Amino acid sequence: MNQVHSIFKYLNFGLFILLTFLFIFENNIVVESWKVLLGRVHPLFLHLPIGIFTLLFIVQIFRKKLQFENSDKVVTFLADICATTACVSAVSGLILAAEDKNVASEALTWHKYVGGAFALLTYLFSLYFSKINDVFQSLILAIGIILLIVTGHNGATMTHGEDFLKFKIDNDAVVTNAINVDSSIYRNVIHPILESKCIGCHNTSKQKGNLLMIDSISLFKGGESGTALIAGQAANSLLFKRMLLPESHEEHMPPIGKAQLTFSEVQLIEAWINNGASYQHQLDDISSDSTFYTLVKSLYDEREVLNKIYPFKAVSPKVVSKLNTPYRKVYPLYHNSPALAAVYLLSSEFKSESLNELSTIKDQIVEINLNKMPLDDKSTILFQQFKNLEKLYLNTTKITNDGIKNLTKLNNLHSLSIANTKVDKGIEKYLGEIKSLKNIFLTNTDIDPTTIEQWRQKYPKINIVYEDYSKIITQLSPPIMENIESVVENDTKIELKHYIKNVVIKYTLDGTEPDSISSPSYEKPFKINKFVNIKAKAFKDKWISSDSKDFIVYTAGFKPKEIQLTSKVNDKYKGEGAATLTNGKLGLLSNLVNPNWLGYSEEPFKAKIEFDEPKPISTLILSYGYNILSYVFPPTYVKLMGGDDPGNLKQIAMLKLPIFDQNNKEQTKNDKIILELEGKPMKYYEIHAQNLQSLPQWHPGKGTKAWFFIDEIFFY
Amino acid sequence: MIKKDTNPFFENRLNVNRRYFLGKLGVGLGGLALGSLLMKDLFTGSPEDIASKIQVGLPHFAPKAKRVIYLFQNGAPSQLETFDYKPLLNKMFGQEMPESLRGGQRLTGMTANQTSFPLVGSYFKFNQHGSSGAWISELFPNIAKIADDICIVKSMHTEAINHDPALTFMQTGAQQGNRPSMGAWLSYGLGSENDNLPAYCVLLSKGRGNGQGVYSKLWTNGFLDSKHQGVQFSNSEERVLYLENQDGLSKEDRRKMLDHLNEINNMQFEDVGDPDIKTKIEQYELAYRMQTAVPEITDISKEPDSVIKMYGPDCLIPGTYASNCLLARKLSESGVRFVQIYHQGWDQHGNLVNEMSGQAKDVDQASAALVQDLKQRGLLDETLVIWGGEFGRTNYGQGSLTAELYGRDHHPRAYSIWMAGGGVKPGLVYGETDEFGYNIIQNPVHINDFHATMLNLLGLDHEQLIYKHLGRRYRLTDVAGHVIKDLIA
Repeated sequence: MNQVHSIFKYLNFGLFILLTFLFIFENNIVVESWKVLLGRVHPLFLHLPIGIFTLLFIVQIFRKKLQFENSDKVVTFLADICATTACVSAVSGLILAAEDKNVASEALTWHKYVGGAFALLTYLFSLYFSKINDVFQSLILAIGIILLIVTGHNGATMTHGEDFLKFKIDNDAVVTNAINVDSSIYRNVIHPILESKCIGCHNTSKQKGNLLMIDSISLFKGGESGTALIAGQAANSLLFKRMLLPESHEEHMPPIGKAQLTFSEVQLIEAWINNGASYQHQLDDISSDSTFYTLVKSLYDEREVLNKIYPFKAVSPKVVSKLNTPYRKVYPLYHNSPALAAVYLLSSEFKSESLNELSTIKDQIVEINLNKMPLDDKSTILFQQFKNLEKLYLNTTKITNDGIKNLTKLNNLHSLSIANTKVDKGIEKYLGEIKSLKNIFLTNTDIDPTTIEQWRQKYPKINIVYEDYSKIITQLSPPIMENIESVVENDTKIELKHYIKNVVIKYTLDGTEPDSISSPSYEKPFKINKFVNIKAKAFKDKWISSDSKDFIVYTAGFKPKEIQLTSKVNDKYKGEGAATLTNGKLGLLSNLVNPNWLGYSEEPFKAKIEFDEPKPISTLILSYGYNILSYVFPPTYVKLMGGDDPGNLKQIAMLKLPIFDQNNKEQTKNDKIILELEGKPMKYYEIHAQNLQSLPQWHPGKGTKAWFFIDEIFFY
Repeated sequence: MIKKDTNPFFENRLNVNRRYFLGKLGVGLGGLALGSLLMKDLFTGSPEDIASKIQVGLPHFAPKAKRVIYLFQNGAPSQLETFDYKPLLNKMFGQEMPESLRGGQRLTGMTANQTSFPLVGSYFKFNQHGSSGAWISELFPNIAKIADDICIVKSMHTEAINHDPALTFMQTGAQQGNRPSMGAWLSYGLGSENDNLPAYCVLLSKGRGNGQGVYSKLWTNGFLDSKHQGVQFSNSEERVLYLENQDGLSKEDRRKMLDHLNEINNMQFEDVGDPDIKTKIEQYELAYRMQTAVPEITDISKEPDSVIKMYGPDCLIPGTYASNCLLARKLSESGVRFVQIYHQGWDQHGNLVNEMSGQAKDVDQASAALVQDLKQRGLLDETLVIWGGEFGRTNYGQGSLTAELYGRDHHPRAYSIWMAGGGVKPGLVYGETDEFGYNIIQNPVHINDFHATMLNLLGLDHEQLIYKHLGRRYRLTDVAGHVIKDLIA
């Protein structure tokens, strides 16, 4: 045993002398041919002392408890080989460092000296451990462990990079590729290229060629070959020139064997340098016809646009969900966003104190919507706690100038909606105070248009949204008749109305145009006789009066005992048979198949009517419809026969109608034919209405038979 | 964002024996531990499944728009009389359409038998408006005034040539029925902003032009949970039918009744585990909250005169397009994700000039007012307004033909829509058709692309808004669709 120890003692002494020598003449070492190999075994060797020293430390801790036999001998032996391997590692390390003197960095310096100190410590321990007591032994070993960790960490930093020990995020590549529109082109596009292809060797811990590439200052400063970057001159910038050298060239960057720049990356770097190598410019700052713009734009379009970064952390979803009630919703702006928005939903349930409940999320809240809530000036003081508030909606609240005063401390507020409130031009003094303000919405307030115009000049950075709608002059819509049916029972009252408040309805019954002065105003529902054509028109101050609207209303009149259809009604359009003519309902022209129509094409319309007793009919009305495009025309003539003997009726009226005029704009209409009679009482009547036999030349169906559609007959 | 649709009844009956469970557990965990060393994504899921980690009910990324108001012009308004200006058609009035344009395009039964296809130009005059110089016809004087706020897409195209499949395509991303409507997808993907209202509301109105039906399958939830279905608002005083308490039933009584009902429903749920029971309970609760919210939010009688003037005097008459626009603003402002208005009557096979004048009069002022109103309130930035129909109309006439009296048939290859707000590039005219207005020559936008873009504006990745059904994953865009980035501001 002693013999082994002695051999190690001499061996270690020799190695230590060598190590001291190398430390002293570090800068003069020339590494060539076989000596390179000495250096390169460093990564292989260094793990031996780490392992052995750790084992030594563990044995030291447990040797009392386990009561090893000859434990001193074990420790001696371990200490010896540990010192040997530590010295060999240190020697090879120094040679490796000498091989490439350009790798000068903080990490290397630490690694070298702490490593050296560790080798010294193990050497001394192997010599003197038997002469010191237990506690002191343990203390020295603990110091050794610390040295080991420090030098090991620094060494690992050089080989594996600085981020090696950080938790790795799987999709960090995606994150660096995403575009943040609020950030510079350099940050979005150029830096990621340098980061992935250059900064690995040109960073603070591994500064090859004395060149740092981590920020603008270091790049312009350059390295040992001079400045790397000349703004505007890619061709003269070393950074770019070296990329263009052939890959085999000694000075080509990145060095052979490392990941190379792609063609489009080289293009981007060139365009960036030629465009002034700016670190601040955003896409909007560069001219849109430059190559640089085109290149960057296409990248921006390709990549996912990164969401805005907020200077605060998210709160737990539990906190958020606790704040949600049926009357208030709090929600993150999007999946994984720390920023929150709050919206109040029901004015009848609103209490302004409830704003205080949001104090648990006061930093996260960026948007509050209180539109239509009965919020008053006093409560606006509560907004001051929301330091990160960006958007505030206070449309249609009870807020006035005093309320706005409390908002001036919101340094991030950029959009303020106070349309339809009682604020007036007194808010001007606060406008300038909210420095971050970009948009303000002021329509329907007491501010006059001229003031707004002045503000727009004075505050060009604020987009003032304001429109003066009070001066718009619009035409009223015509009045509406409340009675749904156009055929009413004999003593029904006619009711007119208008949905807009304070409208005056004027009407006439004689077919003349109502005017605001002489025509009667509608005040209450009124009764009508036989049938009327009400022309009604709406008037209101500051509005254009409406067009007049016709309401044709028929009272039911005399009801016949029986009607018989004596000609053939078309199978498809036979309504409810004869009852159709007295069912009190008019047909809709948009739907000719509905049961209120009788349609005739093959034969003319013919019907026999019988009353209970002879009726003195003074007026007979045929209600019918036409729709020119659907081949439905007015009849050519209408004939009425009457008498008390059903076998012997005499013609009592005949009306010929002109053929429909092509230029008539009214192509579809519910119309009527009125026959004025003498009023002689008769029990039986017969009506004929002839459909047009040949459609006119201008009609697409020229030459064929027209249809005749009838929906109702009235007897008065 | 995948929701598995396993059979809950089956699951409920799957009784796991304790000894078997513990025995398997030991082996299983050990196996997993070893497996995790070999397979990188064993516990985290493959990248494809990362989507499933995104919480349903929140945007995937920062959204530009929070809500949508879709002004659906039902029946397909002609692009050639509205936004796609083709003076050549006026010059070549009555001449035969060049056969080369059609290139085998199928026609509807209505004009397939026509022996000639005479070109016809717009009766209505066009003018350029706004700083973008967008061509807008005289039919829309008010929309023309907001030309700088809207983005006109002239290159929409579809595959359907008839109303029903075309409407279904536009609504659900597929021509056949049974898929969820886009409003239902949004409700599923983004959740409700206001829990007192349905996330998807539907308002109907009708013009006097030739109309086509609207039916509840257009706002269906499809295979999604039934709470995502569109709720149709009525045009009567009572906006949502059967919402009011019956006579003699107080609010407190209703609450008590619901509490007891929920208790019974929960018992049933524990027994059979059918998730539809939970939905049912949620819907009763929503209806209860709607009893307070709906009357408050839908009350348009307190709107100031200035607002009424903006939307036009018809806006207080229930059931008009204008009134629905005003109501849409109020609902959207209160947090309804998707308000869909249908205005019927745009199917001009004949009498186009007369009918379109009427239809345009119905919608022009109120559509423009809606955009302006939102803008004035600071809401346009976060509300996407879309105006358009289900397809376009032919450049040749259908039926009789004079310069004033003509009609147009269905045309799937090109049509125009416009959008405003919600992160869409304002003042942009996108896409171009040939000088006959028949084929798209630049920047086509398929319905799937349109849906993808709409979802993107709302912060949703259309490829990750997924629902698994009948053994496969479904999307609004199914297996197609590209986000049209040029449309996004």
